[in-house]
Amino acid sequence: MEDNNKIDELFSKGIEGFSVTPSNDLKKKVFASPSVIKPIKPWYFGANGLLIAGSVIFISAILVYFGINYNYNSKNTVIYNNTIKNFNDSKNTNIINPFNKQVTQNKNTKDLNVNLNSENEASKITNKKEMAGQASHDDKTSIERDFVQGNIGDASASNTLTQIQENIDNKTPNVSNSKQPADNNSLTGLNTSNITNREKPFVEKTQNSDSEHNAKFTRHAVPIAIGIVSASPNVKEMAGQARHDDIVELQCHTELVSESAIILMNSLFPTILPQQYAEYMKLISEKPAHYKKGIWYIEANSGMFITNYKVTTNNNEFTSAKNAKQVMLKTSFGCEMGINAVYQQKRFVFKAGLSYSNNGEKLTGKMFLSNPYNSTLINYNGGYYETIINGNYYDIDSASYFHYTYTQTDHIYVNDSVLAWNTQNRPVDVLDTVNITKYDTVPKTVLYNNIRYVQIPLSVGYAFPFGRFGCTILATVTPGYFVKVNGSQMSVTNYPAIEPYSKNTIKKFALSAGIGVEFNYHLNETLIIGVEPYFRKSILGMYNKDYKLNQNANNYGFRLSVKKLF
Amino acid sequence: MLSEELLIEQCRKGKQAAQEELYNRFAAAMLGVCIRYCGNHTEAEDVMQEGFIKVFRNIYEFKARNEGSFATWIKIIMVNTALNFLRDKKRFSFIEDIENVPIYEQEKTDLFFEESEKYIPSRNELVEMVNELPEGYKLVFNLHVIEKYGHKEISKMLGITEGTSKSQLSKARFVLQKKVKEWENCKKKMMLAV
Repeated sequence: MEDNNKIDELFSKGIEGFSVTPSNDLKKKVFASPSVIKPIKPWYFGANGLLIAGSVIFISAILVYFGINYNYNSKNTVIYNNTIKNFNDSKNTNIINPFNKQVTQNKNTKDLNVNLNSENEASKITNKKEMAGQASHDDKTSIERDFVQGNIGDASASNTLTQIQENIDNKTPNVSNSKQPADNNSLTGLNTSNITNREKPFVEKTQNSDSEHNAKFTRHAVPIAIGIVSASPNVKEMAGQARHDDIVELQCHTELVSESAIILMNSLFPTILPQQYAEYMKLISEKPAHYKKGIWYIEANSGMFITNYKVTTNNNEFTSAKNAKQVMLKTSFGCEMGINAVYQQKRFVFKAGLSYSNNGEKLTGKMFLSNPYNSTLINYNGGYYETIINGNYYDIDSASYFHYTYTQTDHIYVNDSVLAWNTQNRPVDVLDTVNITKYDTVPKTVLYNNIRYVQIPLSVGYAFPFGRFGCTILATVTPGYFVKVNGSQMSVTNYPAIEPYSKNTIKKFALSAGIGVEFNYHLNETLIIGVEPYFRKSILGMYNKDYKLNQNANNYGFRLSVKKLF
Repeated sequence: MLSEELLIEQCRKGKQAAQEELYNRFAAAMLGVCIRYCGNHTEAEDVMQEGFIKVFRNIYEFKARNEGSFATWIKIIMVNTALNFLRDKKRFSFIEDIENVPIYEQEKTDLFFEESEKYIPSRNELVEMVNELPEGYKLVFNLHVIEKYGHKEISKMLGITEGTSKSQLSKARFVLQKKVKEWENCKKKMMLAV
């Protein structure tokens, strides 16, 4: 064992730092084609990473948006009422919405919204239900009193609601303290300026059908009853339990059936149908006037696509080069982003804009990274040797064997120090395995190229609206202007050796056409998000005639878009 | 002269000057590593060429992996490239002839190591001795003794069992011991002649 250690130590220490100065030729070989030994960046550094990050943020924003709405809807009825009111006000619809009175009152009392914290909401709603069922007196004021003081089990809720009531009382002392008939002034005082004209008929009816003070307190009590209705679908039962034959309340129930349905729907499907936009569904389905006249959107989009390339040539001399490149070309990724102006009239959609496209081009094959014609010595047994056999190119020197081909059908070998070859349908092989590098031992090389264009996509489409959802079939023509290329191209004269991509290889102008189906969703009346799977095919080839080969791209991808009405 | 960090950063940007500087710094040492595995200068150069291209192309990986010094990382790449090269050449041959395994413990030597301080083979001679080993012995000896890999790691790298790795190492030691002994005797004779 000791000897083991000694010999290990002798060799490990003795060999440590062993170095041999390499020849200058080796350095030249390594750096013969510096453009192709570019570092491979991790995927998240590239455009694809940015695109994925952007998509994640986009989707997250949507999820957060709906998440907020969900919490918004499920936690705070008063805020909901406010929202409905504001929404209805903004839409100028003709719905008589008694909620608004509660909202108005809330605004007057100010502290009401503040006191309704989320912790108390659940118990309040429950108690509202109970109280509605137990309502047995004629006076709506009593209902209100019960609601505030009598039947609330939860102490904190009771306190809060009592405080609310006190706040209301402070603001309207003539109403809650004395139960005196309310005069028009006090009524006005409660409503302030926020009661819209469309609410007046309701108030008038109340006043006509009952005493003034009933009318007054109806305006207090109705929101509570609405609160009950909104929390439970059992509207009729609750109405039946109220002993008095208050026309106002019946009217309330009648008026609020649709609203209650919306509320119920929202409680069941809060993420599908945010309630403040419920009305908007009607708007879309009914095709409002501005939709018929024509509307403008501004659209931002980003997308990613895969590309399959097809290589062609008009010159038979380069058929082998074409075949070699076609085999090397793999399905590649690309991405794009852009902005569009969108005009929609009735169902017809027109788009025009500007986009920036990054077309990936992936080449994979067993290839040497240097141009064989840059090699200074090509010798075999002291003599120069170079040949092309059936379009496949071979170099031999005394030390190594180079075979630049990708579809091997030829067999080259050394026999009695004489080079010979014949055609066989099997991979290339050589007998001299010591001095000759076999083709099949050459590692595969993967090259990623980027070809970038600025494009002007022009689209015509036909829309199919389905409420908040919709889809649009789009036909697009995309002229493009070549901007930049990075990477390596196959040399057509010395194929399939690789050389740095030349800008002159690629045509300045590109043209492609495609179709897509955009599925969109109206977040609100001004904002639309969409996803568009599409297919696009280049009409003009990518390369200049000088390059001998031509290349067409078929893109399959999808775009994410956000449209805003303006 | 650029610091190593700066040099790596410049290489990540694909700057050829930095790549050449990096090559100049490590090429000699790495060619030494490749020669130890390939045994042949030409093959070693091919392996090193391929290895450096891998280094330049995968230089982003170095930061991500954060594995030891940069020199160690390059050395690992060179060793792996050399192993792949030998595997492709089908030069992995591990002699499993148990009967021929020497009983190392019985080979006690009187001279060997006792006066080793006086007769230590040069670095090149040691490398030559290692290169003269059969392929399997050489690989395992290099990986275990020089690169300090354990038998478990070696068995995974070469696709052999741990037992094979141990036996190859044992044989390699035996052969090297013999070679060193021969070299010592030769040296002594030369000294006496002088």
